[in-house]
Amino acid sequence: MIEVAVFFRPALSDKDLGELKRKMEIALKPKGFKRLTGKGVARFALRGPDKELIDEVHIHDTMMHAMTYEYRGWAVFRSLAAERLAAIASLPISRRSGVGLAVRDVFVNDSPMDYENLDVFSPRSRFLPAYVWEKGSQWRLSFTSHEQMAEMIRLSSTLFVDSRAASAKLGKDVRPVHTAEITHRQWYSLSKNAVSGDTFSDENALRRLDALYDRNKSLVRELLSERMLDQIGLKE
Amino acid sequence: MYGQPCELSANEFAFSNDVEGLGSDSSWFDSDEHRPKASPQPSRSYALRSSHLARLRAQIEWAQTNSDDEIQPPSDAARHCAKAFIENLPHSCVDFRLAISHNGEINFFFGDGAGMLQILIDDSGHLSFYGERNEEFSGSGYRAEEFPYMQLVKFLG
Repeated sequence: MIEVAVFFRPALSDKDLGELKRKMEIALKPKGFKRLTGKGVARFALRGPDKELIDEVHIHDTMMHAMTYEYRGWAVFRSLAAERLAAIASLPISRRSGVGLAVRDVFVNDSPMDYENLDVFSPRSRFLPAYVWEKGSQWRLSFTSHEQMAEMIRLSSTLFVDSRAASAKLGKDVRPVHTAEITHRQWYSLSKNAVSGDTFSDENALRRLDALYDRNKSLVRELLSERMLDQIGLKE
Repeated sequence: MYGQPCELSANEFAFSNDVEGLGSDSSWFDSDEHRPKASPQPSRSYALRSSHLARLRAQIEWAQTNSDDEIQPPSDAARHCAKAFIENLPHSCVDFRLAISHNGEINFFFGDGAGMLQILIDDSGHLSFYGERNEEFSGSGYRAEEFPYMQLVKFLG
């Protein structure tokens, strides 16, 4: 799953929110999205040929976020992000107080008894402390970081890694699996009293998303084993 | 730089909203609320697309390792074009066969028999295609970003 978010400040009024929902509906309906119910949030979803969830767009009073469950490369996702930004163009750019990118990778092992951390993770990663290797197949860890990028802009990041036993449905059958889930969220945000101006205009927002994507790729390259990088094509 | 790792127990999950100094603008973003849990079962189209990309990488690697007078691996331009083409394909069009020719051309075959559509990527990284069902669907010299994907959806019906 990959997700782009734009934050609003001050929060949208009911009138702004209503207007934005209407514009988003006009933009998404021809692409096959359906409007879903939700309290205090406008939700739109696109399903694939097998009814699987492909894309979702949510508008809250402080954030619009668009999620894609089937990642198809950065170029494809970037153009989707540009389309979502275009759909909120009626809102003054100065209301945008930040942009974020979240990436969730899930690695599934069909033989949970055979799972070893080295199948997925690199022993050289600075993100994985010694206890991970001692704990075996089930562990969780979390990191948070904040960097002041410029006088008024901060970059925040969180990383969650969850290695656990799970079950997967295949038709009517439910089978045990092991999943290693990596969720990396990063967002640029303005300091509380900063004036946004065009800091997060469409062009600037996309440029910042490019930077966040590069950072995510570097992190994943450091976190994963050589074998896994090869399997998912990140060694290219 | 990231801070010290925080080990979480099975029933505990820390979110950085709890970290002092973070603005509230991002509170929806930095939480698992409003998002479905990750499914351990990828959808069919995702699995197919991923498997095509893996096969493309494996076949190119094989051709590069075994290149000689008779086997020419695909050029970088052809490789990039093929990857972008697979990634851009609409969800309903990921059922195809992939083959690399001895001269480095990358071929995609949709369907079979008389109604088969063949798409070829040449050394310069451009797409050509030909297929005929009720009407002809053909073209040449396209970059992956320019390919008429919606017409492909219609052709494959």
